[in-house]
Amino acid sequence: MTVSLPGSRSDQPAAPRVGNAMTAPQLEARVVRVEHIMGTAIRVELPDGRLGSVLDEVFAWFREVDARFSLYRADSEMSRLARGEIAQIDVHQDIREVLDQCEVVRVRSGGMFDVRRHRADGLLDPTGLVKGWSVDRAGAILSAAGVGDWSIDAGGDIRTRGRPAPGAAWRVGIQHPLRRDAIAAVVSGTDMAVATSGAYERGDHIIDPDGSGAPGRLLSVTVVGPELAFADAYATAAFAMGRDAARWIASIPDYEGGVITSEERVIWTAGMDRYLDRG
Amino acid sequence: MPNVSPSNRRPPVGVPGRVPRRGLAALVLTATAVAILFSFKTPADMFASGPGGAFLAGVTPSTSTALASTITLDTGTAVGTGSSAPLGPTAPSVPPATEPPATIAPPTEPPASDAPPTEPPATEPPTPVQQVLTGQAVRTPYGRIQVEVTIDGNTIADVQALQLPFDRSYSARISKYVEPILHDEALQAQSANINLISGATYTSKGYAMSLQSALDQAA
Repeated sequence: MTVSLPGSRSDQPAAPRVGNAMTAPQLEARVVRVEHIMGTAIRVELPDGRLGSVLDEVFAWFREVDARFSLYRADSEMSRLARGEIAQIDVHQDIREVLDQCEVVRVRSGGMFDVRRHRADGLLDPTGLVKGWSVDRAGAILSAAGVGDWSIDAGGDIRTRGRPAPGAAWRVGIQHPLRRDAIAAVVSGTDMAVATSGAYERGDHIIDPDGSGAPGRLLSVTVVGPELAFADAYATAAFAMGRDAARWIASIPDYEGGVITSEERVIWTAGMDRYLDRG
Repeated sequence: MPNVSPSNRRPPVGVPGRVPRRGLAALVLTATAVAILFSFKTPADMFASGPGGAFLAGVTPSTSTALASTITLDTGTAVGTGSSAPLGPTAPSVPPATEPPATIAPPTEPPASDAPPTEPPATEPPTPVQQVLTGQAVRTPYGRIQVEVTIDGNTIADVQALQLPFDRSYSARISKYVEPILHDEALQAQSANINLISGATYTSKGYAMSLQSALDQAA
């Protein structure tokens, strides 16, 4: 299930791939692997595939996270904790770590991100942070294995490190909230996490903890920063805030971002300048 | 019927359920494909029922993808508890960013003449050990999608993409995993040097439909 692609596909849009000559001979074949875990597609890309065997470990990690945290599995440790069958002090340290991070976001967001209020049934649900956290840890596996350049895309939430090609920065398109075939902006950098929440994503899946209804005036929120666990959770919370989202993101140390309003305006925090690629 | 679906626990969105009769399955798939095709052509429709419907209804495929304006929020005034920077329509505007995506053209459909939908094989072994089944070619806004699935015993051993949009018909080994990020691929193919897309991952309904049509052939 590992797909090795010759050259850089983005250099030659719509060009036939079969039989292409290598355009970047200084790199080993790029390795891309996609698996469907945690209810989403996880895509890991190594621009230099020489250490591609580490991907087995990376995807084993994602499956381990799914087995431990999945609320779709009644026998997972997280499900048992949510039902109160085991105490928080008795669960795996990874669960405690995730819940601790959830609490940081809950306090910082004034309760807009709350693991106890995102589900209609009120069960403990740290899903909004687990995915990003697991990507951060997967990145640590890659870095520890000596992989200097990589990107991980978990259902549109992204963490990057290094470069996709010598001298280049990772360029992440922000999905246009109204047009499936367009992007609204480009965020670029080397080491960064990029998370976007929007009402267009799998339906209105983000529940407003205030119970005041779906947030109607924002189309999407993007948060950029060092860790995907927080970027993702902050994006979720900010989206629920509506108009206050951009100001709130601007107040968070080390994290920047932007919102797209229903008037199709993009409001960036001032610190986004170093990430924004305005051509 | 062997249990060949890899998605028993959480079926992918848009995948029709297992239909025992092939004829019915083909009808359902065709109808769904048409519905999806139309739904892709009018992405603004799903927002049109909201308060902004009149405005959003003006979004057409020929409209520039650049958003109306880009505003940079000043952190210094924004963080303070007193006066805060205006965020709404009164905020100062700057011209739209001149990024390559602003000139994205709608993807063109590849010729529909090549590789017509493959008919299921007329004969099927009663107790299959390994089967190679070809799914129907499904049209999507990004092009045609067709997969070939290898079933070993009662598990999916391999899925090969025979046709993917933008000539991306490399031999994609995605054993047991049925939803590549085709949407990302499509965007990347059109956009200038985009490595990744942050936001919704529209898992490919066309891909799932072609796969399902192949699975429906399994004895």
